[in-house]
Amino acid sequence: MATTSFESLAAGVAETLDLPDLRIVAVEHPLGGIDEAAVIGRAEEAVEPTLRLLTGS
Amino acid sequence: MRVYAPVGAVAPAAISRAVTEPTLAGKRIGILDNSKPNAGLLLRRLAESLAARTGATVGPVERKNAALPAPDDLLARLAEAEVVLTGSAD
Amino acid sequence: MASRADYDVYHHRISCSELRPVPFGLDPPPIRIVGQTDPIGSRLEGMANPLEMLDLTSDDPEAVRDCYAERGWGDGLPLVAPTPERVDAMLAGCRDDPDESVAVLPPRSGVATRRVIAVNAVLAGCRPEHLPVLVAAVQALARPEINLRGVNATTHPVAPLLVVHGEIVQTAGYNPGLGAFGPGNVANAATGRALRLILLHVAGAVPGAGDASTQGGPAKYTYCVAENLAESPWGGYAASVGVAAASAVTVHCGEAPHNFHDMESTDPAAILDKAASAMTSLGSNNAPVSSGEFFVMLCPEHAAACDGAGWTRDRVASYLHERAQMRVGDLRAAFALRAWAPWQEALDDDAMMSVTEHRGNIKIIVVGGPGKHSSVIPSWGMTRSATVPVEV
Repeated sequence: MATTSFESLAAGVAETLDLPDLRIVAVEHPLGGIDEAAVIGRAEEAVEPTLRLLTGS
Repeated sequence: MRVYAPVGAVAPAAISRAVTEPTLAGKRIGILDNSKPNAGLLLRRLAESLAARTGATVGPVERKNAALPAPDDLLARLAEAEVVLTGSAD
Repeated sequence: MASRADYDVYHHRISCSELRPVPFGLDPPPIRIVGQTDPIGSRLEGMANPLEMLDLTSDDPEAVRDCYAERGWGDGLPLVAPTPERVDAMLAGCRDDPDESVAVLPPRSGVATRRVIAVNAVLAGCRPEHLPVLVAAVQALARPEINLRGVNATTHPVAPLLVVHGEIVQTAGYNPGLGAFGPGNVANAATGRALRLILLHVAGAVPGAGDASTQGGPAKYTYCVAENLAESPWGGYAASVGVAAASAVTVHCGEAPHNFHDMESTDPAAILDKAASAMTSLGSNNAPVSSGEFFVMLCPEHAAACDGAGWTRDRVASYLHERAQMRVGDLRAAFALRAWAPWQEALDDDAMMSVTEHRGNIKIIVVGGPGKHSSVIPSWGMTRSATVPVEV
């Protein structure tokens, strides 16, 4: 998982590790400094994209 | 005129991506918390929601400093899971 | 369901002692750097290792800069064209196979051969006598205790400081005296720049792609200095850490220098209290780390004042270890995420704690010319310095 601001960096590092198809889910940046409800909201928003990446459906 | 490119070769990587699981039912969702602020909570809640939705279970749950490589024993524990969620950067 | 309370405080129990220094020549500690292949390059045996060549219409430094920039290469400044003739000249004194791997550098897992190092040396404006220093610096960078993957990946503006020691300072024209940190000296400027180009090109530490530093920093252009051995009352730094070689380099991944001055006193305690003050900043990345290193770059006059009072290098480090203390409660209030040893977590809030666990983490090197300004260079935190011999 990465936040939106670091998504390209994560993809770039995955590329350098010869894992161009590494499954990356991005949540809204920032993650630091937000309250608990906001963190949980981001987690819930990530469920569907994560499921699609993990199972292809 | 000819000049050299400055980057050189890349050493072969010794890692590969895990296969896609057609379903998560009965699978284990591991967590590698990189200890950045709110990362643990985000990963845990995501894993719990995925487990509730699909019939997977959560665990192993591991934690490490984001700035250091993961010890071999930690990676060995995580390798027991079919899926691992982890964070990158801040 | 998990809640924030489960994560309010995280104490990473593993301190920097996991990155314990290893005497040169011995096996590295059993810490596997994920993704890093054999640094000696045994995987490359039998592989052809050609370097890509490009066609340019001009060898103007601006043309090279612009051509490279289109490919995401370079540091933004004009570059010396790395023609085969220039690279061969750079390698002229090299006795080893130029296409043998010196190190594999993360995150790109780029293979740094002497030829690739020479290409980047030419780009930076180095002279052939600088190449051995650069090769040693790359060897040092690849040491496990440096944690180069972490150094490149962090949002902190850390840059590897390259300190040159011994005979090669004179023979290759490095500046250990007035203005040692810059600007103006070809050897210091070009060697530091070449090391950064190697990190950009070979290691792939490109801002946004392999280097996440939030603001970057000027030390990421060039960061190379020479030890002023002639004015060091305590002999050379390399020998003090067990590297007995005529020439050596130290790589310390840290912040930009934090200056301190004392123009009034000849009392070592009064002088070093200023250094201790610079070390006890919540703004240093070392602050939440229990075993970070601090390089204290003493100007010759401050070093002479210490020596004049009978203080050895070890006494200076011990004094700083005792004086550079912070209130435990203040550190806890400032940082929920800490890399502390268990005994430190057990301290009361009102206890005072040294900014680093061991006095051996405080390194004293004499640098600079006339005047009474010295500096403290805290490490990034999760890294340890490495000193290696230079093979000339």
